[in-house]
Amino acid sequence: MEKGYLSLVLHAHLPYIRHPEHEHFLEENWFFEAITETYIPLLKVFEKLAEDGVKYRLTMSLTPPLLSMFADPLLQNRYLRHVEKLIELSEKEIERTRWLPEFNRMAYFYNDLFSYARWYFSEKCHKNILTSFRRLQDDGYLEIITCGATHGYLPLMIQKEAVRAQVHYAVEYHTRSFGRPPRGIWLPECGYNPGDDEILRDYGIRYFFTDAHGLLHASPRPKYGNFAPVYCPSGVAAFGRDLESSKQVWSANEGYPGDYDYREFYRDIGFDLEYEYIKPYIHPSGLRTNTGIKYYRITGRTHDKQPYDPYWAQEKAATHAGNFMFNREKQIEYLSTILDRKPIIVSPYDAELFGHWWFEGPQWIDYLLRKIYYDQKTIKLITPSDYLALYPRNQISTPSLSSWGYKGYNEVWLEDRNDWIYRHLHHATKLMVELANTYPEASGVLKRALNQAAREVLLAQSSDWAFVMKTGTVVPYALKRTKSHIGRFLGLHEQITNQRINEGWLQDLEYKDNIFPDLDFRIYSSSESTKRRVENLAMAL
Amino acid sequence: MTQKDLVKMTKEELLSLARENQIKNRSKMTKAELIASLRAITIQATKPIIVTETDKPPEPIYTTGIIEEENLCEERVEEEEYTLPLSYNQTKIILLVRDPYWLYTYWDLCNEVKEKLKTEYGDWERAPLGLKVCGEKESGGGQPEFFNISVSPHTNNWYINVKPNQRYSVHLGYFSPSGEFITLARSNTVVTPRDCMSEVIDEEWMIIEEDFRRLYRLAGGAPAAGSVEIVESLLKRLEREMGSAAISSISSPAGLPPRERRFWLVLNTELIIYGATEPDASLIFNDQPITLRPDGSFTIRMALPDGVKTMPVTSRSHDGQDEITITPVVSKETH
Repeated sequence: MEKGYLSLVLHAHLPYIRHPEHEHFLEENWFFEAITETYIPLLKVFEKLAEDGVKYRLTMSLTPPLLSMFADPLLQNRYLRHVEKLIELSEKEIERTRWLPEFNRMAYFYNDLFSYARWYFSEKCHKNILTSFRRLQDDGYLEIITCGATHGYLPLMIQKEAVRAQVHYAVEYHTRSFGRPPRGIWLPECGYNPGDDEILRDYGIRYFFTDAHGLLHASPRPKYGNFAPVYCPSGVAAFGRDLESSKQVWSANEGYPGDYDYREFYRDIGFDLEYEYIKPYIHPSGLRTNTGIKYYRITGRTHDKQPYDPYWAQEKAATHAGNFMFNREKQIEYLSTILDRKPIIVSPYDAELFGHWWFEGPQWIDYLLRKIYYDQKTIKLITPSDYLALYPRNQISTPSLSSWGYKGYNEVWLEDRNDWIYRHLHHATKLMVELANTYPEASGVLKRALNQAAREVLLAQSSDWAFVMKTGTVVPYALKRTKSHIGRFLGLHEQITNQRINEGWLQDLEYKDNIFPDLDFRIYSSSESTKRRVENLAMAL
Repeated sequence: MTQKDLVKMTKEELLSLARENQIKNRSKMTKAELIASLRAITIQATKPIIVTETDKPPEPIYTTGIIEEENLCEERVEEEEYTLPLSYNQTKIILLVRDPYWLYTYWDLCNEVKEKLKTEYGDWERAPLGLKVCGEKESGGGQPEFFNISVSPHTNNWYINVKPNQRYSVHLGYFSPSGEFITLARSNTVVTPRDCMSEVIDEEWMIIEEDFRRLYRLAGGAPAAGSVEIVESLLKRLEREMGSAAISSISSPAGLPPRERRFWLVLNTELIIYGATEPDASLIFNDQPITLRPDGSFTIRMALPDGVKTMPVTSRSHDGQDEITITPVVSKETH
């Protein structure tokens, strides 16, 4: 009989990046790379485990922007174009490396990887990989939860209507995508602000997560620390992130992904190979970019990188999975001497870590889930919903404001380089709420303009832009996205209030910022009643 | 934004725009330099190409020279450019929590108020603007605390050092000649988060103090220590640990290799064999078939390691009647 539980949570998210106005757009590659390196490899692992009779329960959040990109025909076709180019490049690489056996083997490896990705994407999933996630959900392996509609950072929103709109649309869209309403939510950036749970409750959400200190600093003091959930006064459960298990995977120095046998992310043939040869596979402007073909292992803290050996890497992934499991067993055994109930260890990670950054990550998950199933009896995998069903009675306590960003609070998204955005975001939200209250019965062009205005507000709110401004990579793009969504919103607002809607411009915006085609701007209405919310959900089903 | 638009702006407006665009050393720049920097940024942002995540972060371009319009044309794509208003012409102040110790506030003044201050103080820049911060215990009770901060009319936001687990609001106003604080707007109320475990204990869910400390330690990973040290260690750990969101976007888990001396040379050798034959012939290179282009030409490209390589290339005619083999031998040494 198990002594405690492990809840692995993978948070899959990418900002909505789609530029039909450009034939090639560099940032769209983030999505393409994630499909090839993370989503398909993970799905492959999950499906193979199920096929082999390994029982497991995993929680995954798939954010609405990601789901929208999965479903978008333009991006689907661009992905195919992208992966076909990679197949072509890997074929050339097979030829080019024929006298370098260590590289040649990898060239074949990449050729297989890309060919499989193409087959999986176009043949198996008919271009929308959401179908695979949904199947795993329906078969009882994955519990899929939602996130904010555009991953807006909730603790820095001052209007309740803004938080509500993020949650409302996310729940509606998720329900339509997966055929059932989400039981849980991954709050964007794990950002919790006391009181937001009341809004979650209104939309039928049963649980969310906070970072470790969010739960440890809850009041009244939580009896089980972050090894069991508490109920907020609203009745929504809060689960706390475990730092020890997090650190083993995340930590730059001590974490598994830094092992010298693993693949080096920073040596890509897009930068390494002769310019004329690689030119057709990098950005059409001639700017060198990552291709995804990388031949070296981390080797050490040196520039002199050695060729990658997939067999060694695989062995390491197995060893690390064993180590992770062993540590969780010890953790659970120790906890069970303190607690009078079976503890839950919650280990959330960004899904894109697995495969994209940590190339062997999906293999590690594969080994981990197999080992947990076959090799021990101390821990069992569980989802938060299952745990709540086992222990429906929990302490009532309010977690503290927190996030999983650097330093644990709001600083990542509120500092010298990005604090100026909030006056604009708040202003736009305020105007949007006024619009929704003024024109509840809008129809025709007016309604379209209002819906587009709501899209622009949502897109501007993505926490990704503030994050990018802080970290200093691709800053101009983040600035441009923030300014153009706010600018477009202000333009629409002016046209709506002056009753002079420029239909041509509106159409152009609908074409460019086409996220959530069925969005109803009334999610911003202050009088939005519980009754309507429930009706919407019923309709979405 | 064009050169013309920028020239029309006041230096104050330009500075604010420069701040939005994160131009470094902006406060030391002349108006002309500001315009040039902003111009450079605008052009950068208009380019459809943006560097990838592994590239160096784009630095703002510092230049005082004139930018040649012509050079930029070919890279420019017609796109709408948006400049956000510096003020929404309303008098208000908003307060946000950054962490247990810091609040962020921003404000805006409507033209009417600005005019009024101008008439009272002659010059807008001389208006003695200030913030009055009010704090009280989260649970209520106790003496509320007040303190004032003087702010320059050039700024429109401020970070305020505060205490954890307290309720705050802030007034925007100015000091009258008699020293009295005159409120123009009052902010929303916020509560700073606790930076330690709660003192409130729920009798129904009691746990022995020592056990809770053990749990807290486990969660925070601190060595056996008193509660203050535990909290400190937890915070340090949080600080040390990259938020996972951070790591996934800026560096690989392994981190970048250490910086070595900058000077370096990389040299690789590749060999290209190319030629042509009858378009319907079959071509064999090192026992492997090679695809011909429609015109019968072909190119084989390989990385060339040290050593001697013998490379027979054979073309066989469509009907199998003719066969030609040419065998180049290449020897490569690296010294």
